[in-house]
Amino acid sequence: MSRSQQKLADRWKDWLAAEGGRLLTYARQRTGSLEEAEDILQDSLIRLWGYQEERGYRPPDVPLAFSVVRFVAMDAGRKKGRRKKRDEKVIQLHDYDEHWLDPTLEEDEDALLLRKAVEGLSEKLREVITLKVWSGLTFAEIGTVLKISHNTAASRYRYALELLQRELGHLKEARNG
Amino acid sequence: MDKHSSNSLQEIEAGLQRLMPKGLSDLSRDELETVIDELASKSELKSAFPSRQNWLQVAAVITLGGVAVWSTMVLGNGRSNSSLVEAPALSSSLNAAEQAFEILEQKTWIESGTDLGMQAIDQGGELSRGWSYTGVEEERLLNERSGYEVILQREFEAELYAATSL
Repeated sequence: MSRSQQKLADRWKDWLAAEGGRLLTYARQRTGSLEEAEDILQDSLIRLWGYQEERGYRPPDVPLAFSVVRFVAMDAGRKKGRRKKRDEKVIQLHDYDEHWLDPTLEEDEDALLLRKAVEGLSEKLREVITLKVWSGLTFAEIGTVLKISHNTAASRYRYALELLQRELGHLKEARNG
Repeated sequence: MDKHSSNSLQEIEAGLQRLMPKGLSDLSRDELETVIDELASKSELKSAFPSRQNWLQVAAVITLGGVAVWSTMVLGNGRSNSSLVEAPALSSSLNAAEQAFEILEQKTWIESGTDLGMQAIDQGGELSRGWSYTGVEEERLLNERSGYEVILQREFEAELYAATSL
C-alpha cells in the first residue's frame, strides 16, 4: 500500500472509530440480529467507499452513512422475505442470545420495563428513537435519513416518548398488581 | 404542555439513554479495518486536477465560447439573426478544437519535498530510501483558430524510491 493509500485508510479507520458504534446500533434496530447487523455495516462500508470515489475517497457525511445502512438493511430484509409486522419484529428481538439494548441492566427492573415498552413501539417510532437517542443524530439529520421534514422527525420523536411514558405506566401498574 | 408531563418525558429520555446499546466490538472493528485496508490498497487516488485530456477540452470550451461572444458583439448590431456568425456546436467541435492547439512551452517543477527515510517497498520487507514531493506541470498552448493563448497547470504528488537499497 502506498503512503497516500495508507493515509486514506487511516482516515477511514478514524471515521469508523467515531461513527461505527452508532451505525451498528441502527443496523441492529433494523434487523434485530447482531450478526446480520455486522454484515449490513460491512456492505454499507463498501458501498460508501464506492460513492466517495468522486470526492477523493474522503469519509462520508453522517446522514449519508445512515441512509446507506438503512437502504442496505431494507434490501437485506426484502431478499430474506422477512415480513415487517410489528409482532414478528418483537419476537425476533428475543430470538438471539444478546439483546440489542444493554443487557447489563438485567437487574434494573425499570430499565427492563422501558426496554419492553420500546420493543412494543411501531417500527417508525422505534427507528426515530434509535436515531435520536442512541445514534445521536439531530432532527435535521434524521429528516435527511428518513426523507421526512425535521418537524415531522421531531413530532414523531415526541409522540414516541409520550407512548413510552404511557406504556411504562401500564407496565408498572401490571407489575405492582 | 404542563410541566409535569414535560419532566416525565425527560425522565423517559434519560432512561432511554441508560439503555445505550453496545458499540462495535474489537473483533468487528478489526474485520472492518481489514476491509478498509483492502479497499484502500485497490483505490487509484487521482490528482485533484483533471487529466490533460479534460484540460484541453476545458480550454476549447473557453476559447470557442470567447469566439462566439466576440462574433455576436461585433456582428450583431443592426443585423438579422440569420447573418450572425454562430460558433460551432461545442460538443461537436471539441475534438477538432483539441487538435487545433499548438504547445508553445512545457515545463515541470518541484514545489516541495519530504524525505521519507527508509520504507518497506514490498511484502518481503525490502527497504529503500524514499522521497515524496509535490510539483506542477505547466503547458502554454496556442489555439490556432482564435489566436488565444491558454496556460494549463496541473499539480501532482508523487513518491520516488531509490532503485536499490541503500
